[in-house]
Amino acid sequence: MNGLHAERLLERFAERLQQAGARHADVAAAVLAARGSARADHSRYARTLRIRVADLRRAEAGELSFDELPEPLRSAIERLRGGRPATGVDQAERAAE
Amino acid sequence: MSRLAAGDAAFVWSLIEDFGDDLASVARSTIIAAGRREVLAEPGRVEALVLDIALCLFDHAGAWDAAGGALPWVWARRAIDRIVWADLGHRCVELDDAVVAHERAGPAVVVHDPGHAMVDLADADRRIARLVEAIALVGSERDAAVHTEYRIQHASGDPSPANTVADTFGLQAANVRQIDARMRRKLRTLAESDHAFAEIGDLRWLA
Repeated sequence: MNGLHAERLLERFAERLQQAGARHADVAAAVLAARGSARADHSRYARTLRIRVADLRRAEAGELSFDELPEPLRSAIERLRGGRPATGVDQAERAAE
Repeated sequence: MSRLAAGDAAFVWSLIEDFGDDLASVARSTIIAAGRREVLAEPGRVEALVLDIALCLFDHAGAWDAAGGALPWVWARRAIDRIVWADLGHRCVELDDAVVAHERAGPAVVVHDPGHAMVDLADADRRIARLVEAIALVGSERDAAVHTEYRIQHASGDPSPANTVADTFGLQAANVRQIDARMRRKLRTLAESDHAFAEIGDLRWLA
């Protein structure tokens, strides 16, 4: 996707997940994108990152904030975002501000 | 697509990474065909459409048949076009209130259906008021609404007005065209047979 802006795609993904009821939609979008980018199903991705499948599923469902993510998932999101550090402030938190 | 069909949303992102440029091309071509090239300059607009198109393919993935030979975004082209058209909406020009106030000097008119989309226009133009009256006279409430919406979409440049209206009213596009043709036929007959409605006979609406 050479001509597309990944961060804007992620924002839109998060918007859609938020409309579907995800509480931490930014985090859910980034985690889904990270796993999608790895072309891995839940169990394989969780095994690769050495995290629990249940945590991965909760993150994708928007139940976890950035700070609640297992560290390997936080790193995966940061890698997805081109190495820039993720802010840890998701849409739910921004909305509350 | 098989992983999308299994309902794993993560593969929406895989699809975009692998074929995002193809999806963007589809979106761009529909935007250009709709005469809305200026939209391409808006930051994030194409990306938003690409994501929506990918989600559309995610929703339809179960019905796609790889043996059919068509790429998913070609196979789902009509659904994708609808997404793009819905996002684009119709081109709008802001009304100049001063001009509108000046033009609204004519007498008020009575229309049968106050919820009708043309009420404001009818208020400003006697022939439109007569047309609104005639539409309500010759067709059922639903047919009148379908016909009016179709003519407005058609005149506004919607490249597929029958599909747009069909989606709105839960009909088939062919039904929409039939209803419109029937309504225009009845309106022409009314204009020819009833002197009170003669003035609508030469409106392009009936052509």
